[in-house]
Amino acid sequence: MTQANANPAPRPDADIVVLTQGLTKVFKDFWMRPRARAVENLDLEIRRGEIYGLLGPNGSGKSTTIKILLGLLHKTSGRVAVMGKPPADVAVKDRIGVLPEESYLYPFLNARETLDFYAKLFELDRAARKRRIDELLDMVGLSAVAHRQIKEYSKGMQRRIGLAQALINDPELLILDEPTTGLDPIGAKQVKDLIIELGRRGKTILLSSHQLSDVEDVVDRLTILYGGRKQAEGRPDELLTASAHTLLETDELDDDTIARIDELLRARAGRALHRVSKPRQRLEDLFIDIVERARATNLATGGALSGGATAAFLRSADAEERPEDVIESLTAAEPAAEPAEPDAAPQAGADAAPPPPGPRAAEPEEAVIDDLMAAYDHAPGGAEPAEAPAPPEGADDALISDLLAPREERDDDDAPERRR
Amino acid sequence: MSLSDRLAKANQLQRSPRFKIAAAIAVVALAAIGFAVWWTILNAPADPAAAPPEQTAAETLPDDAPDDADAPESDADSVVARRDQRFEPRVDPDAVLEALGSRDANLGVAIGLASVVGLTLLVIWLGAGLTYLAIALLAAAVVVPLGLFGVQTLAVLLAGLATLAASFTIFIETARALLSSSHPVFAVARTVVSEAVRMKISLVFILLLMGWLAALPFLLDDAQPLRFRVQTFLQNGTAGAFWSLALLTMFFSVATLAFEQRDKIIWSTVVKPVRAWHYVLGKWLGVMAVNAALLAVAAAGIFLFTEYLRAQPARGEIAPYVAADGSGEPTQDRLILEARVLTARAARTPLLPPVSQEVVEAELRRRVQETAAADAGVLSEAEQRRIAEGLLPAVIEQLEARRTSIAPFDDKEYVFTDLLEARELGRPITLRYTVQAGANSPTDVFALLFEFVDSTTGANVPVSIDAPLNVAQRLDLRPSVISDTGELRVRIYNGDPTRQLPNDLTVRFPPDGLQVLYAKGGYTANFFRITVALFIKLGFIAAAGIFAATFLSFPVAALLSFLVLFAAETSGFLAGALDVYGPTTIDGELSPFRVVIRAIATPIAGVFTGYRSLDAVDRLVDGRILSWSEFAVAGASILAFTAATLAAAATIFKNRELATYSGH
Repeated sequence: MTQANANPAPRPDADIVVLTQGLTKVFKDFWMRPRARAVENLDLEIRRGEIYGLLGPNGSGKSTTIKILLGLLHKTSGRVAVMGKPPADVAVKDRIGVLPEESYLYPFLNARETLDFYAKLFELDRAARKRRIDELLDMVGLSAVAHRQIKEYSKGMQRRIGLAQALINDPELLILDEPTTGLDPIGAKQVKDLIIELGRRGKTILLSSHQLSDVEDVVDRLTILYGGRKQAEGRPDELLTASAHTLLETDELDDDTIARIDELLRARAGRALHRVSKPRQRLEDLFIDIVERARATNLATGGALSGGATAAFLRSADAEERPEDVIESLTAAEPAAEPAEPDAAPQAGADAAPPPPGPRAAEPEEAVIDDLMAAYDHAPGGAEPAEAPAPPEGADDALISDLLAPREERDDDDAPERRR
Repeated sequence: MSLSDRLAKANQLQRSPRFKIAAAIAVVALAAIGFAVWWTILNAPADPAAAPPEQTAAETLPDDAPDDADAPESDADSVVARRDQRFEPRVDPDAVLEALGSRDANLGVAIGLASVVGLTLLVIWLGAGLTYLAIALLAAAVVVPLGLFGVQTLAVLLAGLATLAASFTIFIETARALLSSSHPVFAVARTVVSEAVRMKISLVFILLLMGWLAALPFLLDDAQPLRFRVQTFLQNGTAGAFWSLALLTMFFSVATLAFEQRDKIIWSTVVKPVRAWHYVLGKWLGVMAVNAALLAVAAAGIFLFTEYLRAQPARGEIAPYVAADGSGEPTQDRLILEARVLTARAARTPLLPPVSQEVVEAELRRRVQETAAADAGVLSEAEQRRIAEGLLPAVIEQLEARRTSIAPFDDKEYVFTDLLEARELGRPITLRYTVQAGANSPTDVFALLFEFVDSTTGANVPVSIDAPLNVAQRLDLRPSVISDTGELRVRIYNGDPTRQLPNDLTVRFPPDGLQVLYAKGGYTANFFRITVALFIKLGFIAAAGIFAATFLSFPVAALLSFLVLFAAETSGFLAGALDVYGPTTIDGELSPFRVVIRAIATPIAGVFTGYRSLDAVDRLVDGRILSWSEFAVAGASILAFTAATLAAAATIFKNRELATYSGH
C-alpha cells in the first residue's frame, strides 16, 4: 500500500455497499456439531462504484461469503450489511442482480419466458418488461433462439441468459460468480467490457472468479481468501507490480544491440538483462480475429450469436464513446504512482482502511530510463549534458537513440497495453 | 405463398380483435339457433314423456331385489305410496314431475350446450380459434371414418380423449392468461402451471385421468338396469377423478418446491424481491389452477355423460321415459334413478335417548360395592373403583346398542323429528333400514312389522316386512306419515304379530341403519357443490405437500404428504374405530399400548372432522344432499386448516438456509 493511501479520509457509510465485520460461518451436522469453518473473521468493505474481486482456491469461502450476502446462508457470527441492511431484507434485493456460479434456471421455460418471469418478480410493467427483454436478448446474442427451452441450451448459452436475468432490474449492486465460465473468448471479452461499462456507470460489482486474467483486467480492488480467511487485499497494481524489475518493450533488436544494452545497463546501473524474448500474440486475440473474419463472411452458426450492443437501459447516460477514446483513456499518461517500498507490500488483514478506487492503469518504472536518458538528452532546446560520456567505439548511436527517445515521441501503437 | 407464410397469416388473423368479435358472434348465434330448433322439435306438447303424470307413485322397492320380484303386499294404502294409487290432492303434481326429473333432461342439454359455447368462446378469446378448428377437423377426419367402418368403440374413445385433452389445454391457457399479472405471486403461479404441462411427473397423471374418463363408459354393462349403470359411472368416475387428482396434487406440490431447492433454481428466485409468503402462496395458487382445469374437465365430462345416460331408455322402456307396457307411468328402474340417484336427499336419523355416563358410572359403582360387600374384605375401595372404571366403557357400549335393538316378541318406537320441510315439499319420503341379527346369515329372512301413524286420520297403520339380514332396504312412504309438528313415529315389532311370525333372535339396527330420506334439492346444484367440495379438499392436500417440501427432501416430503392424505380420507373409519377401541382390554385391564394409540389417533380423527364430513363421492352416488350450510361449515374448516398450513410453510421457508438441501 502506498504512503499516500495509508490513512485515507473516512468515507460516509452511505458509500459502503457491502460490509462484513468479523464474519464467521461454521457449518454443522445434523447433531449440531461443528463440521467446517467456511469463513472466519472476514472483514470486507466494498464501496459504491467499485469493481471488487473475490479470489481464492476451491473451498476458500468465496461462494459461502456470497451466499451469506444474498441471504441464502445465515452467518454464525459477525456483522453483515448490504446497502446498510440485513441480507434478508426484501427491499435491498430490489437493487441487486446476481449471477450464480451455475445458471440455475427453469429448464422448461424458454429464454423469453425466463426473463419475463424474473422481470415480474421486480413488478416491472408489461411495456418495460418487453423492452428490456428484447434489449437483453440482443445483448447476449440469444434473440434467434429465444423460443427454445433452456434445457436445450449449451452451457455457454445458459450463462448468457443467466447474465441477462441478473441485469433485468438494472441493479445497483451486481454480484457475479464465475461470469465467464462456459463462454467462448469473444463472449468472455464482451462480459468484461460490460463489467467495465457498468463500473463506469457507477455500478458496484462484486466479482468472484477463477479466471485470474479476467479479474486482473477489470477490478479496482481484490481480496484473496484461503481457508475462509483474508490473505491479501488491495489494488491489482499494488499487489502485482514487481517493483524490483523493469520491463522494456521495443521493436525487434538484433543480438548485437541487445548485447550493447546489456553492457550499458551493467555500466550505468550495475544491473544485467535477465531475459530477452519475443512477445507472443495472445491466443484470445488470435481467436477473436479468426471468428470476426468468419463472421464477416456470414458463415451459419446454430449457437449463440455474438452479442450486440449493451442494452440501452444499462448504457451510460453520457455514453457513445468512440473506441479510440476508450483506448486513449486507458493508455494516456497519468500521474506516476510512487514506487512501492519492497517491504511495504499490502499485508493480509491490514488494519489501515482501504484506499479509494484509484487509477486503473499501472505506471511503468521510469527511473532507470530517465537516468539513462539524462546522458542522451535530444530534446529541442534542451540543455546539453554537462559531461557527455564518449560513446563506445563502434556503437550505433541511431539505434540507441531510438531506444532512449522520450515516450511522447513514440507511436501510440507502441504504448504498453494497460487493459484489453 | 409458402405454407409457413400462410400459417403465419392465419395465426395473425385469429389473434386480431375483429376476428375474435366476429367469431364470437357467429358461435353464439349458431348455438342459439341450434338450441331453439332442438327445443321446438323435441319438446312438442304431444310428447307423452313430458306430460306430468297424475297417477304416478313411488313403489316399495328393495335395492337388490330382482326386477321381476313381486313387490311385498301391504295393507297400509294410506301411508305406503303405491303405483296405482293417487297422491293426496294437496301434493303438487309439479313436485312429482320435478322429482321424476323430466325437466332436468332439458336442463342437462342446456348446460351441455352452454359448456361447449363457453369453451369455444374461450378458445376464440385466447386467439386460437382457427387452430382448434383445424385440430377438430383433423380429429373428425380420423374418428368419423373409424365410426363408419364399424370401429365405433375406438372412434368414440378417441373422440372422448380428444375432447377432454382439448378442453384441458383450453383451461390451462386460460389459467395462464389469468395469471399474467406482474406480481410475484402470479409470476410464481404461472410458472407452476407451465411446469405442470411440461414436466413428465404431472403429464403421466393427466393422461391417466383423461384415459380413465374416456374409457369408463365402455366398462359399463349394458345388461344392467340404467340406475346401476349411472351409479357405477358416478362412483367410478368421481372417485377415480378425485384420487387421480389427489395423487397428482400430492406429488406435484411436493416436487415443484423440493426439486427447485435440490436443483438450486430457487436461488435465482429468492435473491429477487420475493417474500416467503409470495413464493409459497404462488406455488399453491399454481397447483390449484392446474387442479381447477383438470377438475372442471372431469366434472363436465362426468355430468354430461351422466345426462347422456339418463336420456337412454331404462329397463322396461322403449324410449326414454316411455314405458313399454303403454301405461304412461315411469318404470321401476326410471323411478329409482330419478327419485333416489339423480336427486339430492336429506337424511334424518331417529332421536335416541341419551346414555348418561355419570348415571351409569354411579350405578356401576353401586353394584360393585354391593358385590364387594357380599364378599367382605376381598376387594379394597381402590380395587372396586378400578373394576368399575374398567367395566364402564363396555357397559355404556352395551346400553347404547340396546337403544337400537329389539328382543324377540318385543317392540320399540322410534321418532324422527325435524321433518316438517319434507311434509311441506309434498314429495315421497323413504325409510331406509338395515336389519342385523345373530351372525347375519345371508339366507335368513326376518319378519317384522312397522306401525305408522297417519296424521290425517290419526290411525295406526301396520306394514308387514320381510327383511333379509345386513342388506339395506327401502320403504317409500307418503308425506302424510309426518305429523303437524314434523315428527314421524314408527313402532317396530320383532316378528309380525299380524301374520303370527315370531323371531327367535334379537334384531338390531347398526349406526345409520334407520334413516328417513326425502328429496330436498336438485341434482345439478348438488353436483356443483360436491365438485367445489372436492376442489377445497384438493386445496388442503396441496398445502400439506408444500408445507412438507419446505423442510424435507422430495421422497420424505412425498411420504409425509401421502400419510396426511391417507389419514384424511380414512378419518371416518378411524373415528368409528375409536368408538369401540377403548383404553382397556376385554378383561377390563388398562392397556398402556391402547392409551398411546388412542392418544395419537384421537387428535388425528378430530383434526379431520371437517374434511370427512364432506364425503362428496358417497353423497353423489347415494343421491344425498350436501346442503349449503354443511358445505359452508365444512368448507370453512378445511380452508382454515389450509391457510394455517400455508402460513406455517411460509414461516419455515423464510427461516431456512436455502443454500442447503437435505443436509448438504
